[in-house]
Amino acid sequence: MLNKQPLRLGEVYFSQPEMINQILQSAEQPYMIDYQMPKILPFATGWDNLLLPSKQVIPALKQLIKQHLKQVRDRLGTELTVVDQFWIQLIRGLASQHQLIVINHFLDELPPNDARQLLKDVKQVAAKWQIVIIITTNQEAIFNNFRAQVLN
Amino acid sequence: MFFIKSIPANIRYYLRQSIVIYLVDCFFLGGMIITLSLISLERYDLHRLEKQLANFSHAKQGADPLNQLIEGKHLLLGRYQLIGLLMMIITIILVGILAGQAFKKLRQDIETFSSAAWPQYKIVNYYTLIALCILVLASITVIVGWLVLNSYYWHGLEVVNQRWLQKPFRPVQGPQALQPLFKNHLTDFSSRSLLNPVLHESTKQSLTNQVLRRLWLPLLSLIVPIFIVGWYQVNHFSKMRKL
Repeated sequence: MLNKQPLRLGEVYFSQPEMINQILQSAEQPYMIDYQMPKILPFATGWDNLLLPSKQVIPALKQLIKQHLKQVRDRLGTELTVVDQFWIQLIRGLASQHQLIVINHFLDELPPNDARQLLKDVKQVAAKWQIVIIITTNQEAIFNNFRAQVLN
Repeated sequence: MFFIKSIPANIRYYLRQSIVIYLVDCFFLGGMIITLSLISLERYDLHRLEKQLANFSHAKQGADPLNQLIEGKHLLLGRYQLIGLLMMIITIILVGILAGQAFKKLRQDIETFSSAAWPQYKIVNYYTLIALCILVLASITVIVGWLVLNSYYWHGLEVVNQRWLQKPFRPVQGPQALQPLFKNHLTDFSSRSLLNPVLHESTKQSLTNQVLRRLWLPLLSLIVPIFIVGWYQVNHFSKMRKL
């Protein structure tokens, strides 16, 4: 678990949700991806839901969008799975050039296989984009499991 | 592009709420058209009466009821204008309250726009534009309906105005009261037409144009509160997020 250690770019960290505010002493507000409040427009499609701020960012994010949103471009926000919603939010965070991204509870709520795959992908994204990702979880067992299977 | 695609999709998703806003817009616009029509009608009547009064000398026997009639019309016109003003104020307050409730319901959507780094003005403009689209639909419905039934409308309004609304303000209740005024006097109108004039088609058209020209103020009073409340709410949500 995260314990007031200096955060390094390109790394994924775990934390308990209530610890986040105490640990983070960054001037920058973290970009929050919340399972409870997914920040998805129900009436917009997967593609429209990206709400990318400028055309310049699209080429850089194209590969990520293609990889994760290809199938859901035309699907309405109400029809998207939680994993699709997660990728829309993460891409939106990257597009608005946030360096610090907090993912609230997401892994606790996903089936183990999806969660493992998601964590592998998130680890790659963090390294590629040189950002810090903090994943919150209430379950120590989940963290240990992922550390054994994914992080190491 | 997102605006063009998203606005109809947004209206469709929040269809029930959109219909309520549409009906409020229709109801208010309809009410304001009737009030503005009554104001225009009374102004026209007053102007015509004053012109007709110029045919008689003030000292002429029987001119008093006519002067009283004009005073009564001034009073009625003042009442109509007051009703119009009160309707506008009530609508501005009502639309403001409705907009406040709507923005509270849309909080999660607004948070979504903020998370995509949309500036506040863009979010407010987006929702104002949606409200404007609904208002345009309501305006088209009301104005087209009104223009289609225009001739019957003015006739009905004239009858209601003469038989019911003008009565308490009219000191002269019958054409016979004005008979002394017309005695030995040549005019191109009778005592009956002086009291209860008939609107010609060209007059109806000119009154319709007057009402249409004055409709911008009610339209503004339906959209400006949404813009102002939108600014306040989006700003408020943004401050709450930073805390």
